[in-house]
Amino acid sequence: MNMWDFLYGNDRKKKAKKSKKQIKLKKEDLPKKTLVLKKEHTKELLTKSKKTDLSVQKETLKPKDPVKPVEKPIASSQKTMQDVKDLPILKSIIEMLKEELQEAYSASFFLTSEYNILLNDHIDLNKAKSLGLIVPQTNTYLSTFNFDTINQYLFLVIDDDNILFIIKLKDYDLYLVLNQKFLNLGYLINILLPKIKNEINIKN
Amino acid sequence: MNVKKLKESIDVLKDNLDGALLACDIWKTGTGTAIAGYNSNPQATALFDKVTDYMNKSLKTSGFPLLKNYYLLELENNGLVVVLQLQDNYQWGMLVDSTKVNLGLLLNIAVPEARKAFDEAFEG
Repeated sequence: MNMWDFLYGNDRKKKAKKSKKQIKLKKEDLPKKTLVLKKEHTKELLTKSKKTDLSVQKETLKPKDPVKPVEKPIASSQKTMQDVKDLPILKSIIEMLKEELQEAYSASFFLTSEYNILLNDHIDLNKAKSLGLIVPQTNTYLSTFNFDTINQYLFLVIDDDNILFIIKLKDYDLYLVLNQKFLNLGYLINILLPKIKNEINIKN
Repeated sequence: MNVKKLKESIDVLKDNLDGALLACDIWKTGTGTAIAGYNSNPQATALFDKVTDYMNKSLKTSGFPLLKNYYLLELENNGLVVVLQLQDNYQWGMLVDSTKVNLGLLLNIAVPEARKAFDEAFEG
């Protein structure tokens, strides 16, 4: 098995064809088991090449927590059109981040307000799905206990190398996997984050 | 666990954050109840025990390692929540006023020193 197969499975070519369209997977299409990787496999989890095209894939997420699940709004065609309209802006944001963050950038994807994954870059769609509900579910917990909800960002230090940094934007949550050895956190929070927000506001 | 040193570790955090620390609790993962704290909030302890558990499940499902060091939430109304992952499945959650402390001091001085103080208390 080569690395590409390890990351995306042997049927990646079929998936790549499907990814050009909007996909809604059925429950039975989802993998029954998830490969649990050890720390040393984390780097392999994220594809190395920064030249890969940003694929436009969409996957509807389902809430998992039984306490107070995140409610999934009914998808409207108007919102889908909005997603399509915003794609160039979102792509330009990722390109800007790659350029600015250089080696600190590992992977990214957007979660829409309808819980769809957009532009997953260097991260498998199913893995993005698992991470994608962290913001809405955390906000649900916070509001259930009458706490203030997340304002602009949150981040998780997951090992010596990787940070999952999540930025809340107007209609999207931007999930970034970053290598903290090369990351200047202050630059990301104080310079790049306002720049991203500004770009979205101007173009909308 | 040396309880006296554990309480001192909270004092270390308070001193380093110089008035910016609004509340904190230390608890064992899975219990949701604090063993020590400052302006303790039992609801917050239970909540963040659950949030951590959810995050770890999401990370595990997606093939990432579990939380190792800490996570940080920037909340509305200038609140910063940091939840440290400590040895032997302990967690230390803290609510900080972001207008009174900068992120660099919090993450590079207060958090490492709090962790060190906890480790000393744990070793007894």
